[in-house]
Amino acid sequence: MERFDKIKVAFLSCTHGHARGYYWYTESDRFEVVAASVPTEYRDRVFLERLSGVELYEDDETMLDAHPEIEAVVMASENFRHPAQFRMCFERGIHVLSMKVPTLQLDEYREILDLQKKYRTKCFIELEMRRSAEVMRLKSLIDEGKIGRVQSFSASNLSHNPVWWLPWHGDPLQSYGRRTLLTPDGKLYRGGALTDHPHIFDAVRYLLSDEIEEVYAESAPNMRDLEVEDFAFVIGRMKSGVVFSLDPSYSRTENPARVIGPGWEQYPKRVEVNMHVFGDKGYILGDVFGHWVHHTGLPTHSYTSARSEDRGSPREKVSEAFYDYIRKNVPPPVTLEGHYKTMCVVDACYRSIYEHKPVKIDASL
Amino acid sequence: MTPCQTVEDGVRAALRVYEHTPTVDWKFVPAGSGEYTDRLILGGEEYPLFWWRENPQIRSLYALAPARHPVSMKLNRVCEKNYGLDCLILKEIDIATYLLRDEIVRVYGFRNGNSANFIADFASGIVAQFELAATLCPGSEEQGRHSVWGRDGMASDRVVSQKVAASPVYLFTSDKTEPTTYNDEFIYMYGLSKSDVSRATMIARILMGQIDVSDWNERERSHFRVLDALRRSFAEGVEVKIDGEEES
Repeated sequence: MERFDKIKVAFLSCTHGHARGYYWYTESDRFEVVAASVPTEYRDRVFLERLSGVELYEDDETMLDAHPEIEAVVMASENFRHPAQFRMCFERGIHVLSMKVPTLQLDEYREILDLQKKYRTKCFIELEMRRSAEVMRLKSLIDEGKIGRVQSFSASNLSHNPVWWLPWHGDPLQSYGRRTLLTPDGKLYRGGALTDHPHIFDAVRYLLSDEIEEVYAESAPNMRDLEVEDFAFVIGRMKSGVVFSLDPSYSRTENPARVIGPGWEQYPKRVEVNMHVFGDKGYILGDVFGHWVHHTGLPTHSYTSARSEDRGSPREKVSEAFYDYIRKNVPPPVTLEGHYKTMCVVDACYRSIYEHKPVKIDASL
Repeated sequence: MTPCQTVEDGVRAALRVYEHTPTVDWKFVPAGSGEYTDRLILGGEEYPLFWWRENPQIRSLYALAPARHPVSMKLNRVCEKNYGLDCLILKEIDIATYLLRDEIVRVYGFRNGNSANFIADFASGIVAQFELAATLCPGSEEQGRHSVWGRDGMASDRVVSQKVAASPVYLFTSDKTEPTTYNDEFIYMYGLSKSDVSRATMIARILMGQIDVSDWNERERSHFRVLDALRRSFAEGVEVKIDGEEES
């Protein structure tokens, strides 16, 4: 049985509940959780009972100063903090597993890339969909030519809006990094669904082994009274000529709740990711979160669809790859440079929504 | 009961049930090659038959949509190759404008082979995303999902997690692994396919005066204008207003 040289890891600014996807590191063979920094106002929202015994800090710098043994962090903070946190970590030689996008600002992204090169640190972007068995099946079927030549790809990554339990998701400054108008009419700002759901923008590149050439995007009037966009509809063309359609919208409605949990759902599924691939000899239709159980229950007895138990979640596979990257220098599936290309597409979508025009992708560094 | 064999059988069956005798001559003309939809000749006048509006789920969506105060709609559909992408586009344009009671004013899209994706802006500000393909094996049942999203709820013709169209009856036999499905819907039209039940029901309702088709030729011309705008957008990579003005 392989013995692992455990990586000493910390959670950096837990301000979203997704970080709990990594709390199992406390029982991991590969990682040793040293500490976590969690601002006071979030401590009752991010399920810290599952980090029982882990030393908590109010701010990142104090934690890192107190624990020079920290080798890597899981970055679990508001998007706008990421650039400064990357700088803080890279300057200390600390590797980063980034749960969310490093930044939506391309100039900041290039600075992060420069810092990584300068300090020779390692960064792993989560994008756990690449570690999903369902996505792997789709890729195999496409690559084996089971549907002939691909003509079109469409994917939706639809969810409730998390703003009720994570208010920073509704604040353009905190989610997008700046208050930038979505459209010239001045009603909404960037920082909603398009910011929060980059997976399918990565998936189209990954599944088709192709790069995006051009996008056209629009939003729609919001369903909720928020400052950021509920909807983003994106169509475009790959360099190969394959056309695509992506929908990362917050189109599943929810009951406002201070902490995410049962009863939050109005629409029974909190999140769903479906993909369609149309070829000249066939059609693939896939649910990336493939297996579900449907139930009624407390507290509202509403009908709810929940993902069934995983046989090893994609996040566990992400963690194995993160470990191998740090300890064995095995290249990660998504590098910072590779992810930068995806964020160039997201940026182009925002520009297209604002300008009401198609936008060509320029991902050169 | 003698099963219905044709759309005309279904129409006559429905008229018998409702004890209605048509006061005008009528003739059902299935779409020929190159035509977008079936026609109905009514008292010598020819009309397009938007039969899909009588699909029971589309009818329900039509009824449910207004109270949701729609802000967006998504139409994801794939049909058999023989039906043709342009016919599918026209059908889905009709469904969207019918459900939303609104007009498309601008389109932008990409087409590749028998697949097309486009975004349509409506006069009220609603935005709809269309993901359409005509790539299935001839004889396949159309697949996909229509969803309307609004400030006061949503409506969809697929239940959560459902991937393909459900059938009311599945027959498993000892000689093959895949079930045979049946989509019987209306006992008085027993024997007809689901789409033919929609065709026959629509014609019967027209004959009984429940559906007004007087502006349907104009509706079809309006859909053709959207289709023409889309073709321009596909070919030239520009957003096109339905009055023909290019925007970008």
